[in-house]
Amino acid sequence: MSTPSQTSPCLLTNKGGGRYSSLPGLVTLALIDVKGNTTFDCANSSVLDISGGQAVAIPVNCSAKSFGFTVVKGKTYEVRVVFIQQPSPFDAVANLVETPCNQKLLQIDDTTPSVVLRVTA
Amino acid sequence: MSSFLGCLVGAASTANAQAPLPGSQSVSEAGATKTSNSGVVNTYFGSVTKSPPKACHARFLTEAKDAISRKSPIPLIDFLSFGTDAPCATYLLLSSNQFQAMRTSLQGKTIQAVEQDIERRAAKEVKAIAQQSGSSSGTGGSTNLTSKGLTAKVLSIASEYGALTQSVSNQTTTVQGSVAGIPLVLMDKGYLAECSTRILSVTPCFSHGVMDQLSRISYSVSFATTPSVGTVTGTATGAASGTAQQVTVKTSDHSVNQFSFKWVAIRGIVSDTAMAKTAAAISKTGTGKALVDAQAKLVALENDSNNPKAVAWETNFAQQLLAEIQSGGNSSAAIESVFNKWREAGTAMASAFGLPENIDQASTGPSVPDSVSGAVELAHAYTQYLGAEEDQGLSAIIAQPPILSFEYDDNRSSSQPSDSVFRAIYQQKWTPLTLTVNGALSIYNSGQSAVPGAGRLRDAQFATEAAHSFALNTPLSSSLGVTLSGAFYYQYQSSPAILNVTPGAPVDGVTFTGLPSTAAQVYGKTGNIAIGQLKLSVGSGSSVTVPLSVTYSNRTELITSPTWKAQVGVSYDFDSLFSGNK
Repeated sequence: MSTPSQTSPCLLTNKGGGRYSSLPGLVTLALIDVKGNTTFDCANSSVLDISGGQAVAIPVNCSAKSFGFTVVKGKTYEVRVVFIQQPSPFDAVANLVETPCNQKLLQIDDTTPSVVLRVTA
Repeated sequence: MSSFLGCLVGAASTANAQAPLPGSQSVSEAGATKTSNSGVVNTYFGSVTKSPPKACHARFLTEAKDAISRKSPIPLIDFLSFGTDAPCATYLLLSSNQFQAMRTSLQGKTIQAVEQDIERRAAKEVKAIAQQSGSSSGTGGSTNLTSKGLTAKVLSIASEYGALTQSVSNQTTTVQGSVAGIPLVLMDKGYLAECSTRILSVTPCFSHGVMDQLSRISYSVSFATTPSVGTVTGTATGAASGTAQQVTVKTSDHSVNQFSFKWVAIRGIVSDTAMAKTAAAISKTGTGKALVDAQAKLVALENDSNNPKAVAWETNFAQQLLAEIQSGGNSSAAIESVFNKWREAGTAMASAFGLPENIDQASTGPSVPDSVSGAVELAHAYTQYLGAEEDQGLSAIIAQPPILSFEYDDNRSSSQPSDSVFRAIYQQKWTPLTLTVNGALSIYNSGQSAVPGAGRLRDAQFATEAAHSFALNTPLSSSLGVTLSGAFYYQYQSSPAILNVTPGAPVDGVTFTGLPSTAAQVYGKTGNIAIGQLKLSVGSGSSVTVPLSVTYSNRTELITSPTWKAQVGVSYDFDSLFSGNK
């Protein structure tokens, strides 16, 4: 007997202005192209734990189309993401979504070559 | 069979990083942006453009429609935030009265002085790009059997000797590059913006479409650099005065012996492999890191727990904007009206960031508030990053086979009648093999009635080259690029090749026997010229390339006997000097 498919719950809740609350767990962002090709710039993107006085970089699992990091309850993170837009930054459009729940977070175009998000768990 | 050792001097061609912790290292200190913070502020402390960037208008329409459909102000809050729409928020802050007041008074600098400053810096950048230091390095030019569809992006300077089809060769220096080369480098440095995203009025702008078209056009100018090229003749005038004699001197020297233009008519679709390669090149420029670091500084100010006004202003203003759109029936006119309200909100935004509306130099002193210096720095970083993407992206597009180019050459050799060559160039690539095919017609620019059998059509040409690229592992280099190519060239000489001679002043390198003293032109036989060449280019794909070649021809334009030529040289691709790669 097969199990009926269930929609995965989203961890992130958009508060506006790049501020998000999050449930603990692995947050995975993905890029879905609308026009052209947009990818994560893994070398220049990072996640910082800014809960304490000193910001600390945390591990990130990054590929061209996926960007994941683990959120721990009680922590606040600054997510710095750079996008590479091709073949021209003025032609490419993509949606930044949270997976696997497929929640659209932002449209990535020539006014958003990078974003800085604050995620609080 | 004669042998010849010429010098072919070059062929101009073609995880997670640990982010710096906030406050631990500035962008300028990180090295990604060479200009210091104060330098950026001083140079770019100009006014914003009169109208918001078109990209912001387009983005606002998108966010407004999203807010309407979701019945939520969140998309509009995103539009107002430095974290999620940095350039539009930057424009708004820099359009504030507070910024205008400081702009005219900061350090006594007027906007005119700032504009002169940026012009000086841009001119310095151009000078750094275009000025050659030391001796020229070379390119193939006429020592190549085929023409390629592309030239160096910015600039290449080449010196060559040893023409393959002609019997007389002079030392020639060739300067070539793409028309878009220098604008792209200025864009890459942040001194030139794309018009739809321009924030600061002192930054000149080109549209993406113009840059796209300019990148298709390249130029080439060749100069004869052999001291003996051309002839200088003196004729005695008047009577001699003792051992002195007045003369009238004439010269047949041509300072420019060829210029040409090339236009890429058709180019291929950028492959996934090329996309990945270009993405790596963009990432390596470091401009993305400079951008996100500058953005993070503003986000820190925006979310400063000691000043909750900024976040409160974003939320309240977004709610107000959505309410007005809804009260206008969610119509396009209502959205446009609300957009105009947004563009006038800079002063309120600056107040929320702690800048009082009556701020002036007296109240700020010589220091610049962090929000202002941060916004100016962010505007510059944004322009520079988009410029780097445009630069690398257009380079990838233009170099994507199949490429069909058309070339016009105007040959103005001092020793031959001038002629024009119309050439079509096709290049296709099946990795690792590249095929190049040329077809060309050459016509004399003027009738050659003095030469029997000479018409306006000088010759017809066909050439093809197959090149195989591979890598070698050597003790000196883990991956040394090597290209092995074979080329065939055919020329049907329908009109005789003509050499202009001056009696008593023979052409350099040619000795005539039995030539009548009154002869002003000599000419060869018509017929078929066939040339084959094998070439090994060591270091291909890198900045330094060493081409080695052996060429055989059944005849040249004037000499009817077979000829062997061996050539070796060194080339340097200047483009690497101007790329953003560190």
